[in-house]
Amino acid sequence: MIKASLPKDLEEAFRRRAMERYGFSKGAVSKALEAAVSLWLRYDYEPQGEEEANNKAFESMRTELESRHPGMYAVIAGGQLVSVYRSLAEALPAGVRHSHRLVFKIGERPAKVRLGWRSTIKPLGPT
Amino acid sequence: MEKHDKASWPYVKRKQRGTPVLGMEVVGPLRQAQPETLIPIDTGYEGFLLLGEDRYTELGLNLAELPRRYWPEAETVTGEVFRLRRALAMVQIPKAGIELEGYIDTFRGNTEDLVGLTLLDTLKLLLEGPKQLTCLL
Repeated sequence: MIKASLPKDLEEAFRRRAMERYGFSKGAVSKALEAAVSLWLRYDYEPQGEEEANNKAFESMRTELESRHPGMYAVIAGGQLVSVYRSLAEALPAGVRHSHRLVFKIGERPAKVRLGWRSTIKPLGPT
Repeated sequence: MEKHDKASWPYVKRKQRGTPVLGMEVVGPLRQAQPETLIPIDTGYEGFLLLGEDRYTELGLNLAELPRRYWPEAETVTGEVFRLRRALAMVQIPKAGIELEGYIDTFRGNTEDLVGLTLLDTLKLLLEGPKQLTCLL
């Protein structure tokens, strides 16, 4: 059982949407809360250890990389830039020294991706 | 295999129905040898290649990930929006001697491996329904 409080305006909006979605029944808010928590848990991964260090390093050097090496492949490991390479074939191979590395084409940005009907999601376990 | 095909793969039965597949190897940062895997084609998925979470980890793709800033959002057919985890890798189609570079996606709870539209954009394919064959031309 989780007990929590929300700001009044957020709670009102949440209750209103829950009723719209699940009807004016007793369990509507619980169902909506379950859906909201599932979505939140799936939405993002928590960075840890070397992954967090690598992402922090990337953020600190992003602007410089984009201005100096656009289109090249960068490798960040152990919280620092390893090198930039002309091809993915050069950048990809990794030793076993690291638990996480970043490998990316400098300046390339993602677009939103639509998933098809075949994509299935198993119930969330403990994270 | 027809004379003009580079390679072909019989459809795989999924849920009592033949599904077109492509045979490929994903070469991750660990470069470990692996057999050709038959991966279903999904023209509803806009990305390059989607892998189950377990497979993503086995291939060591955490050693070739994009910065979190560049992980894209994904939207399911039911409108659910969440964050994909994304890495760079090479995909080989050994039967045809093809090597492609692309993004490998996964997400929490995913168990499916799927070939998406971005990968298909690079290939000439024929789905030969009567023979239940995917042919690479």
